[in-house]
Amino acid sequence: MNVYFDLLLLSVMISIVSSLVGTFLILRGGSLTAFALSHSILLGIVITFLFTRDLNSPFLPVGAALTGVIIVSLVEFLTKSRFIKQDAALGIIYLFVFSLGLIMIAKYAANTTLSAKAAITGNIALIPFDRFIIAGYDLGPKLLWITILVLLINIIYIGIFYKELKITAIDSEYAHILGFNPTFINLSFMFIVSITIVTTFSVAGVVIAVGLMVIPPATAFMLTKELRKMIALSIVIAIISGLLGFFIAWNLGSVEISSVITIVAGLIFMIVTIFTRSGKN
Amino acid sequence: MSAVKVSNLSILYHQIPALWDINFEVPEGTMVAIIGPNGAGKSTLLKSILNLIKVKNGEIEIMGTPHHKLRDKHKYIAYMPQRSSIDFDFPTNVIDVVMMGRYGHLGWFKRPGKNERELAMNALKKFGMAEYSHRQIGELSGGQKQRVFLARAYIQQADIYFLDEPFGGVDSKTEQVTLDLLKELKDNNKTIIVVTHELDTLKAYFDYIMLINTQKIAFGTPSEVLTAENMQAAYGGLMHMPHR
Repeated sequence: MNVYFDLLLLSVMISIVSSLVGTFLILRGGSLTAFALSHSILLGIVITFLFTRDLNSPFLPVGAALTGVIIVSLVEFLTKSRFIKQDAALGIIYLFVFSLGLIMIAKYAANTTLSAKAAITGNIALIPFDRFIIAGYDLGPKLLWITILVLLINIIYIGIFYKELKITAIDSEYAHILGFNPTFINLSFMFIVSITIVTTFSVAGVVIAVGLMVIPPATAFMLTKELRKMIALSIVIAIISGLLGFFIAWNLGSVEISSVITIVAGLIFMIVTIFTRSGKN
Repeated sequence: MSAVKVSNLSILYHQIPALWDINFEVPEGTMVAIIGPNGAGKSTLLKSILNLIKVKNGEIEIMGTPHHKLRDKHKYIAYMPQRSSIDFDFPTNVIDVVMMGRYGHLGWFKRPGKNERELAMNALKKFGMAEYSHRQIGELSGGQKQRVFLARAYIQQADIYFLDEPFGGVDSKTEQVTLDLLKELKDNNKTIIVVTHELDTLKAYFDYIMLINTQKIAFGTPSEVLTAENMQAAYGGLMHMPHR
């Protein structure tokens, strides 16, 4: 077992899986929705844990992802009825469910590895010790394999619904007229974002998980006007941030690798902003 | 058979009517304008017909079928939206947007290919936009954007064409291209429904005019509808009779 190599690979894979869905997330104007999702997921984990009583249960990620989708759909339903504005609704709901999640952790999950700190920053240090072992062969950290599985699911989803994701984002009314139900695409995409956050959650926590999703595509968006190039560029930026972030974190002796990755991604974003803006003037 | 039949349609926002008890029928193969002052509910009426707004009071039929039960909608309904309803920052180019006109024919999952690209390119040539085919959609002028959406609606080859404000603040070339398309569609016996502010050009082109201001003021031929009395009822003292 090689902790250094495991963490390096995990840093890069988590960055890639986040930035791929992130591209469609920011193009659909869903950054705030993702925040609401990630905070709802925490609540979902605690609630599902109350039923399963096992933090390693396979139902935990599914329950968490579904909770996220249900809560965000409720918010969208409320805003569609013009009861309240969407940003206000999302802003209020994510703080509300997050607080509820934190209280429930303290009350019902006090003796587990689930803690308020882990929820906020993630806990990458523990991950290399949870191994995926088949017939005596050690195949690496479990989470690495889960991340690869989620990445495959995301690639297949985006591959199948590429055209539908595009048309509902560019012109949802026209999509509706042509018979492509935007609600179906919205819900299924939210579920994909949800399972991705559930995966990155244990490494990055609720806040950074969204940062990894949003920053590389937002940077790529400034550099190109073609969707395929934007996807490719955001993955490249994610890989660079993952690698650099890991090396810096490792050498600093810090275990908050995901935070350093986000800082690197943020710096790349700023540099690109300065160059593209000054190029235009 | 009527292309579009609207019966007892009322739309309320927070108990305030945006449309009140609207009734009219558009015969197949005719060209109809929906006119009225700002806030009269023109776009609301169009969106209700297109089932983009949920209709709770009243019925709407398209080609004899209730609009919410209509299957293969893309074969019946082509739509040119008001330009404001589109995300122009999306990283996509002109030809990709035009190809969306064939998405309905492709159905779920299937990606556009050579055939769709060819149809889109021909339509762009027709509307004088071929040289812009690889521009990002946000980089076009208002009139150019409209021609892209005309091309998209055109390659859909549907039975009924809905155009929302096609004459609002566009250059003369775009206006001409739009009028030429309307004539061509009409010659091919398509039904055309246009929401418009542009009263001056109306008389020459339209078979029927629907004049509304929340309620139906008048529906009929241009000479029946465009009377001083009706215009007074719709616009109050704010607007004069169109010339010609």
